[in-house]
Order: sequence, then structure tokens, then C-alpha cells
Amino acid sequence: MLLPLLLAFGPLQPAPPWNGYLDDPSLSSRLSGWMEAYPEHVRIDSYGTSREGRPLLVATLAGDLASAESKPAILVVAAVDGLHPAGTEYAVRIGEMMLAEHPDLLHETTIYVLPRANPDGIAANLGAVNVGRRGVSRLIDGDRDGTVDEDQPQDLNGDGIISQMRWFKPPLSRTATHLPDPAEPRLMKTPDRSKGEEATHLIMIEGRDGDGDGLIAEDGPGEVRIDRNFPHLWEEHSVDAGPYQLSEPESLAIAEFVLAHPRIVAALVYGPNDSVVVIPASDQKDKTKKTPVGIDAGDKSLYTKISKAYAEHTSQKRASNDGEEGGLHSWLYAHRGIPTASTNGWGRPDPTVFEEIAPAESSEEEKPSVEAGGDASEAGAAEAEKNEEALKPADVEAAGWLAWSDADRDGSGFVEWESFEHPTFGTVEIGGMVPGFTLNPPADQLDAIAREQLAFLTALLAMQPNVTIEGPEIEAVGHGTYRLRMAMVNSGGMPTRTSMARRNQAIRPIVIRLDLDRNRILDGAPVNRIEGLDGDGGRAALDWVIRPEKDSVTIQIDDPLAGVRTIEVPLPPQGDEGDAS
Amino acid sequence: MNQYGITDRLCQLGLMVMCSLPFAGANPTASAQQQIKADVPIAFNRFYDYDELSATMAALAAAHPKLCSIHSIGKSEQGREMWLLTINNPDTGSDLSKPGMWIDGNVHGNEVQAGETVLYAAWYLLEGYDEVPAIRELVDANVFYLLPSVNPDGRAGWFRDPHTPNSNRTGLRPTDNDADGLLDEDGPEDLDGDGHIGRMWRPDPNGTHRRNERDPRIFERVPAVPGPDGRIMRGKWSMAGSEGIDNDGDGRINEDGEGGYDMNRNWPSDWQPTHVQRGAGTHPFSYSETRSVGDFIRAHPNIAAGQSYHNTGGMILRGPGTPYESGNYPRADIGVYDALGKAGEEMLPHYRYMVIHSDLYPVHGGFVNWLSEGLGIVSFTNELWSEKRIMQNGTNGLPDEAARMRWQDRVLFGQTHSDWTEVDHPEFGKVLVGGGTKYSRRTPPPFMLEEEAHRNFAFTMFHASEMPVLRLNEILVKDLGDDVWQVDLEIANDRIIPTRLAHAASKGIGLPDFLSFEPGEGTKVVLAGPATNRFAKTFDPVEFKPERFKVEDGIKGRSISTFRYILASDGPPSGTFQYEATKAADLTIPLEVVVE
Repeated sequence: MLLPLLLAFGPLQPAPPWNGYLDDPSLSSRLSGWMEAYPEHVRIDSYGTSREGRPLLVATLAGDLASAESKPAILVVAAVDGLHPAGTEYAVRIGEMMLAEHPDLLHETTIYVLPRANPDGIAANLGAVNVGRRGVSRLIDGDRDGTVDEDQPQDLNGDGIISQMRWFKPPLSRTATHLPDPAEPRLMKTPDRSKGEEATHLIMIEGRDGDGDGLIAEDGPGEVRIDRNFPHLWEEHSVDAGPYQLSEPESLAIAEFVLAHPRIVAALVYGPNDSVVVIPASDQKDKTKKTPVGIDAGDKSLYTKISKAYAEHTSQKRASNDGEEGGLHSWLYAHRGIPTASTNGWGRPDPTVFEEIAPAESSEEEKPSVEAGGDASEAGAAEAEKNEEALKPADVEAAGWLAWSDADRDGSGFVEWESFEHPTFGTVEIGGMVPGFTLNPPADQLDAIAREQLAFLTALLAMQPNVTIEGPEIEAVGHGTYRLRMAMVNSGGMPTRTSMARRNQAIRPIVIRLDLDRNRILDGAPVNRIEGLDGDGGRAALDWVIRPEKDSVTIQIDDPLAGVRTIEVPLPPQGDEGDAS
Repeated sequence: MNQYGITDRLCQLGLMVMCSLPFAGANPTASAQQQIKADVPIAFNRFYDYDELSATMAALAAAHPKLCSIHSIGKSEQGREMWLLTINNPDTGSDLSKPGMWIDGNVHGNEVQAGETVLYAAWYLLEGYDEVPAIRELVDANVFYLLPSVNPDGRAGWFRDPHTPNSNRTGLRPTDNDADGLLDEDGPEDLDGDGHIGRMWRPDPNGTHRRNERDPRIFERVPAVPGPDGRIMRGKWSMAGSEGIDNDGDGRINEDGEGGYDMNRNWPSDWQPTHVQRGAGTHPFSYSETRSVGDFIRAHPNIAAGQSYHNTGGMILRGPGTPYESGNYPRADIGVYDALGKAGEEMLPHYRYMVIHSDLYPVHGGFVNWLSEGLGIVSFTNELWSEKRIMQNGTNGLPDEAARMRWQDRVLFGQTHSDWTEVDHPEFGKVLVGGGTKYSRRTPPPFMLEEEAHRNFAFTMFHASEMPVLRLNEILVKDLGDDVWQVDLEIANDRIIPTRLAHAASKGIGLPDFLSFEPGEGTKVVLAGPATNRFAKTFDPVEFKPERFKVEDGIKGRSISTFRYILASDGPPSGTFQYEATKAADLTIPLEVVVE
């Protein structure tokens, strides 16, 4: 009964990569559910509004909401990029599991979850057509003709996806730039002249030339990206970076949230960037030579430690990275000094069927690719190798995704090239990789991935700095004079502040104050700054010689991440007067 | 420049005639003095604090309601209005239809005379409008946006509270300058109650300084070399710091006063965080003052010239602020800056035209850098007042200490020096407090204020007069036969500033210029595009939409651009050309071909 109805509706549209994911109403109700289930431990607030008027939501998870802001905190941000709604899925599940399974951890550390930092971009992709939107909804006059939004991409073939158009042998007024990759003809590559390759196709985005200027889909929303709009390595005059740093309400709102919450000890950012599968470079500086492009050399061991924890708790082996320029993740570290784990959450899986052996092998037995060349004769193996090399695709990653799409996703990651009569260009072909396919796993894998991410998050929590005080000890020197000593030890895995924070002072040192008139201090400083204690036992010792008036002296320890502690030290009796020890 | 020549000459002749007829009748404008008769008389031999400045601006706008409007572009950190004057003649068009000049000052709270300098410009433009044809032409052809104080809180505080010549540069948002978790906890104190923050000297038998025998106001360094008795020489005084006490008990004096940032490092172009650029804030436009200015300027893309006033040193500055931004200043644009800068050097004695990073010091995120590099606006910062002007000494150099004292005593009658007064300091005991007042180094004495304001105004008006103005040079029509016609349109810009800086064209800043042709009845556009000149045999027709195409490069300064059209028309072609430029008044040119 159902079949004829389906046929009547035309070609089946393949489900988008985020099929089964949370749309805005589902996300809202899910978060409301948290407040209902854990009213003592969750508060949902809005930290801003998107350009199109959607609230930007933050969930505060804490043991005691009233004191949440005074505790060290972890910041979790997801869906900064419109193409990564999977981030929202991870963030939401992590939050839920945290509340259900580890409420005790929330007593010591607050967690701020920003599950959907770019709601306009996500909404655009979750609509009827997968438009491949990455950015926010600022309208851009991309072709600079004085009007905006007159020429957007269009789903010409009605398959619900904005794909690519390839134009075989375009007229001479346009230049061909690509050719199908001989190793994988579905993928387009630029010609390699040394192999005698020539460009045969022009690639465009699916759409019409609405304003007759020869360009397709050059005007409209979605070009300015949050991850290009932050101040670190911000590229002026680049359209996707916005007219100035933090020009977008979505970016500015995150920045202001971070500035208003100075107790963030670490950040976890889900998106198309990665700092955990492969840690950022630690030997490159920006044009000023004073700020690292990736990370400061002094933070390499910290990032390595975080990376090891990620490897230990998750199964992500491959990662994609989208660059540091203007990114939220790179700003959090380079300008705010916060150690930041940025991750895709999920990387390219291996296809579950083995690759075929090269045709030179005449055997009809199935041989696992892993053992190719192991049992076969040497000559056969060499020829197999040679054929493999000759047929190696230019974009190995894309080919790998195609292989997995073919094997495990019914080819739904790729729209096969098909002929289409374009209103202005004549015969073209429409096809290409489905936007978002390489970033968003099938919905039935989200739970398992999120469980791994939770394990990583708890590892991060366990790694945060933990400063304990040794002493203070006070010893009578004689004649109303005392020697006062204390030490601070950081038993946590992370340093009290990153090397980057020590450089940019975005996180200030720990300040130790002796509450005593300066004239009563014979040795030592009334105000001391502990620039930083390394993780795993970093130690600093302080001592003073004092002549207090009262019968106790107070030490105040002001830790920017952990808060203020006061220790009152009573004076011991002056037993041995005149006897210098 | 010579467009004013004829009218000037007539004026001069007129005046001469008047002077030679002493009893020619009581004509109030024919005074013997070249003086602006003002509806709002403003004395420019004095300074104005924030409230006085605001009231004066309001009076000026009220007296000239047609040409001048006043509104607040936003509020400062402490809630003061940022008053902006807009001078535009509505009879000659809306403000956005004309090239605009942005003039501001006093982003650093202590650089107070910038406020008077901007006020002077507004005053002269409005009060001179009726009497001085050159001023009238400037006002009629352009729009002026004048913001005398970008930092109202800083300005108010400078006049109200005790300060040095260098404080407070900052805005007044509480800031932790010394990384101790406290905000603004250790500012200066006026211990001797003279209304200024001076220096403190403490008696020290092993001191580094002694008081000069002839003039005990001067403390001079004693070298640590052996004297006649073989012992190293020591003075009796050591520097104890700037006037104040250690409020937070950390052993430092005055290390965390009000504010503690530099709003002239808070702009987007090459903005860098504070470990690279001191005082830059957490991100561009992070202060309400800078954000208000930024929003206004971005909303007025007709602004083609920018001028910012600061003190001190006698400089006309342009970017780049760092060597690696040099690529933003292509040679063609440098030619524009050089022509204007050199003209300024001539008008402003002891001022030098300089490049910020190479002649001064590196600046990241500066205002004129953003105007020039971010927005493609030709902009300068003038550092007002050079101490080379105080005493005539036959050289071009700065006066030495002794000459400064003579200036103090003989020309200023001691008004900018506070005598050394003994004061009880809680930590140091008896100290001497005094020294130069906040008026002593960076601001001109009042009697020199007006001249400097006028000369800077004149430089700024020269800059304004060189904003682009387009005119039709000539139209050449050629009948190619078969109802096809070639029409060459020559558009000239006689001014130094192009409609688009080369930098703006190369980076795609803002909108390009556009040239459109609305064909008349029976005329059709076949091809259109730029041509090298009227003699060119070939040209460069655009691929798409010849009836309206982009002119990315604009019309360069002091040049004539040629655009060629191939039109199809049964009979002579007709229609209307329109050249649209963001930073110049649009030009409408009818095509009327007369066939003999």
C-alpha cells in the first residue's frame, strides 16, 4: 500500500547526515527536562540572542547552584559551525550523563554547557534542504553590487541537498579548473601537469545565476563564520571573518560569557577542529612573533597529556582540522590562556569490507588487504603496489569517506553525478559529497560516542589543578620575632595556569597576602605572586620573618581559579627567649 | 586648490577699496581686521572641561540650526554623552550624498587641547560661512563630523582631579593593572594639596641627586665617581616616586590607579592582546566609547578623510603601525598621504610628517590605522604642541633644562611649576613634593592655543578640500556606421584623493564605484568598459551587465578616466550616465548628441 504513494512523490530524497538529530524544539524540551529532573543542579539561561532572534542557551551544571560561579569550571561549547550539529548531540548527552552518574563531581567543579552556539546556521541546515551552511545569518553582499541576498544556492534537482555542479568543457569565457580523479572519478581534483592531466570541468555550487553577473550563489547569508570571527589570527578583509572581530552577536555573546566567568580551568569545544588526536604545533609564532599560532612550547607537555587521555578514553583515530584563524578554540587558548581541547568527536571510520586486491593478482581467493603481498609472490606484490600507487587518489581522506559511504552508509554520503539541464549553462552534472557527511555520524552511534566523550571529560575534570597548602608553620625566633613558612603544592595534572596565560596574563597569578603592617615584616613581601605551579607536584615555598603586634597573623590566598582562602595562624608561645636556635 | 582663487582675489580687491575710502559709510563687515564675527563668541585662549565643552557645542549648534546639528553617539563608561556635531548644508544634499570628513580628539584623557582644536574647527566653519567664500564652499561641498572628546570621562577627570601631564590617558573602567586581583586600588594622592600630582624627593645621605646650587628647583644627578676625598660622591636626595602612598601595602606606589588601558589601541586593524600591545583591552570595541565611534563610522561609508588630534610632539602621523602592515600602503596611496603631509609640514611650524612604526614606535590597533587600513579612509593623527616653540634659540631643537626654567619664570610667570613643599609621608617621612603641574609639558600655554588650533584647522581643511570631486571632462561620439556608435565618457577628479584608495580596491573594501547608463528610447548598450584614453584603439569591455558595471579602482586622484560605450541606435544615441561613488558626490551626465 505504501509503495505506490512513495513513488507518487518522486525520487526518494536520501536522509541528511543529521537524520534523527535534535531540532530546536527538541533541544529546548530536552534541556527543560534537565531542569525538571535536577532542579538543584541545573539552570538554563540565555547568554545572548542570535541575529535571527533565537536564544543562545547555556546550561549551568553544579552541585550547588548558588555557589556555582565561585567554583572552578569547565566550559563545553558545541555547534559553532552550522555543519556540526553532532556537537550538540554530544554536549547534550554528556550533560545528561554527568547529572545522572557523576553528580558528586559537580560539587567541586561547575560545568557550563553551550550546546548550540550557532542556532541560525544549524536551523538553516536542518530545514527542508541541506544547504551546507557553516556560518551565521548575517547577509553578505558577496558580489559587492550594492544589494544583498539576491543570489543564493538553489536545490535545482529537488533532492534536498545543495550539491555541486560540474560543467564539462565549459565555453572559453569560463576556465575549466578540475578533472575527475582517475583513481576515483567521483571526486574532482585539480590537474597535475607532470602527469599530463588537463582540466576538463568547471565546478560551481548548485544554483542559478539569479542576478546575471556570471556568478552563482555568491550573495546571501551564511558566509560569516563564528570560527573566523574571533580575535586570534583574525583575517581582516576576509568575508568569512566578518567586518571586525566579534562582529557577530553569536561570537560576542560567547566572548562576553567567557570574560564574565573567570574561573574556567579548561574548555572542550566540539567542531571541525582538533587539538587532541594531533596536538597543535608548538614552534610557530604569528606575525607579531609574540603569540604562538598553535600552542606555546611550555604547554606542549600539557597538551600531550590531554591528548593521551583522549586516546585512552575514546576511539577516534582520525581527525579533521579547519585552521586557527579567528577560531573560538584558538582564542580561548591564545588570548584567554585556557587549555582547550577541540575535537570533532568522531573521525573517519574504516569501511567494514576489505578493499579489493589489485587486478594483477589472479587468485580468486579473498585475501585481506592487511595481508596483501604477504602470501603472494614477490612479483605479484610489487605489481599490486605499483598499481595502487598509480591509482592513489589526490584526496585520500575524501576517497576514504567515499569508501565508507559505499560500504556502510548505502552510498548516502555522496550524490552521484547526474545530468541536468541548467537554465543558463546548458547540460551540467549535479553531484558531490553531501555537506556535513564527514562531520556527523549516524544517529545510532551518538550514544556510544557520547559515552566516550564523557569518559574524556571526567578525565579532564580529574586533571585540573589542585593546590594544597603545606603548613603554614610558625616558629618563634625570639623577642617577639617569628619565622613564618608555607608551601603550595599542585597535585593536579594541569599547571595552575598555562604557559600562555603566564605570557598574556589573561589569568592572573595566585596572590598571597600577609595581613600585617609592612613595618612589621622584616623579611619577605606583603604581597606575593605565584606565577605558576606545574602539574603533578609543582611547588612554591614562601617564608617571612615578622614582628606581629597581635597574637595571630592572617594569610590570604587568592587563587583566580579556585577562589579566596584565609588562614589564621596563631602565634606560638615565645618559650626560649634569648636563645637563638 | 585654485578653485578659490577668483573669489579670494575679488575679496581682497573689495577690502582694498573699502580701506581706501575711510568715510565710505558704516558697513559692519568692512572692518579693518580679518576677524570672524561670531554669533557664538568662544575664547580660544583657555581650556574647557567636559561640561563647558558640551555647553559650548550645544550653543554653537543652537545658533546655527540649519547647518549644524548635535547629537550623542553613545555614552562613556561613566555615562557621559559623547556629543558629535554634524555640519552639512541640506540645500546641497543629504550628508550621506557627500564626501565626509571625520575629525576627533582627546581619546587620551590628558590630551585636552585636542578638544579645543576640534571645537575651533566647528566654530570657524559655522561662523565663517557667511563671510568667507572659501569656508562656504567647504561646507557646501562636504559634510563634517566633529567629535571633540572621544574620552569624556578622562577629560572630566583631568580637569577635576589632581593629575600629571601624562595622566589620565586611560578611560575610567576599573582595571587590575598589577595582577593582584584588586581594581584601581592604588592611585596617586595630592599630598601637598596643590591640585597636581608631582614628584617626591626624599632626603637620603646616600642620595643619587642634589639640588642645583643656582636654581634649587632643579634636581640633578650626582655621578657615583670618587670626589676629591677619594670617596664616591653622593647627593642628599633620592627620587621617591610620583606623589602618593602605597595604598595596598604591596611595596609599590601608584601602580594601579583609575582605569589603566589605552583606547587608542582598541581598534580592529592589527588589534593585538595586551601582552603584545599594552592597554589594548580584551578585544576591539570592548569599551563603550570606541564601540560608539566604530558604529557611527561604519554607518557612514561616505567618510573619505579622517583626522584625529592628540598631544604631544608636533607630528603629522600616518600608518602603518608595524612593518608587517606596510602592504596596506601601496605606492599610489603613499603619494596621496605624502602630498597632504608635506602641505601640513609647511603650515605647522616644527611639525614633522612621519610614519608611525618607523619614525615613532609600533602601534597595534590604532584608530587611524583602522580608518586607513580597515576602511580605506585617508587619515592622519596630529600630535599637537611642540616644546620647540617655547623659546627662540636659533636652532630647531628642544630647549634645555635651564631654558625651560627661563620660559617658566619669564614668559609664564611661574604658573606651571609647583614649588617644592615639604610633606609628611607615612612611609618615607619628610619628603619634598612639587614639580611641573599638569599643564607643564604637553599642553600649550593659553596664549598659544588659538594659533595652533587655527593652523591645525587649516591643515585639516586643506585635507578636506582635496576629497574627491568628479566632473564630466568631455564626451566624444563617433559614428561607426550601421547604427553603431562609440561613445567615450571622460570623468575627471581634480583632487588629490581618489574615489577609492588603491588599498581599498585591492582588498575589496566597501563597495566599488559604479557606472550606469540608462539608455534613451531606441538606444541599446552593446558593450561598455574602461579604456586607456580617447585615443585607444581597443578597450576592455565587461563580461556581464554593461548597463551597470563596477569600477573597482575608482577615479584616481588628479586624473581623467575614460569609459567607452558601444551603443546601437537608429539615429544618434541618447541616455543618461550615472557615476556612483561612495566617497564622492554622484555624477549624472546626460548623453545628448547633436548632429549637424
